[in-house]
Amino acid sequence: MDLKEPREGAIPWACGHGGEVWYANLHADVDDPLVIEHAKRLVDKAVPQKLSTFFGGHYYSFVTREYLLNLLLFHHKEHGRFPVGPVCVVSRKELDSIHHPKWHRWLNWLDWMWRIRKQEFDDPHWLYIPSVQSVTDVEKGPAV
Amino acid sequence: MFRNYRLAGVRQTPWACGPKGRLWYATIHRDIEDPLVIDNAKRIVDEALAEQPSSHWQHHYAFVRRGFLLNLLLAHYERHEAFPVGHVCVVDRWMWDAIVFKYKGQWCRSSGYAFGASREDYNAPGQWIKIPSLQSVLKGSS
Repeated sequence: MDLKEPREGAIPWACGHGGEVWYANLHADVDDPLVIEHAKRLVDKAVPQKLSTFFGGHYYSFVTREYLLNLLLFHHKEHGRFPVGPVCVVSRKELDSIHHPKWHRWLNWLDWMWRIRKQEFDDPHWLYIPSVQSVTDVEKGPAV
Repeated sequence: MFRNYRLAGVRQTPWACGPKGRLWYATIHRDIEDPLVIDNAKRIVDEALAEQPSSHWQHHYAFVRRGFLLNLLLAHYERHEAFPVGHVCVVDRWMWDAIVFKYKGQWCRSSGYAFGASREDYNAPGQWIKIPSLQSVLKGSS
């Protein structure tokens, strides 16, 4: 799927490659443009778009940001707010969980899957999600 | 596989498991020796992912999950000398794989893009686990 083509349910987002605008898929069932805008700002702060095109770095950066955007929107849909603070993103291969669409909503729970588990432990990926308040305060600048 | 006995040559910490509170042994993968730090990490895990009282193997599954979270907290402590207060988000597949190895006694960390999945695969929400602060845990238990 071409990232550069506008599609239904996709939102425009600068990708950093010569100021081009690419289109990120929205999987979370959130329509409020303000919530989406806030989520984008949080992602901009937490995982800034990489400008380098070396080995497609800007693409990997964009799809990471797109996924984080959806995770934040899913969280907002479920809890009515965004998560704040350190977030450790872990794949299911490390910590079993189920994400299952049912009755027009997602059911999520921790489960168990039989597998041969690694003996060693790899550090998972930590992100820091700022609060919406702090992000909008920075954009406004200091009070005069 | 089973955690109810000590493994030779492996650093482990005893941890009550299951309905009868028997001691099982969780493996510690980090170079943290301080028993107070390990104990505090276990308390945070007790709050974030409580042990399952059911004995229909649920206690074993819960123990493995708790062991993972324990090491995750210890890894963070080892690096930042503080426990995180935030969330763990379990996703189908994160697009970055951790690359961690020890070189000349130091942990080297990097990450690499996990090739092989399509963007369309990244369409499910995560399972969120809240990590409380140590202070709130200690306050609750006192």
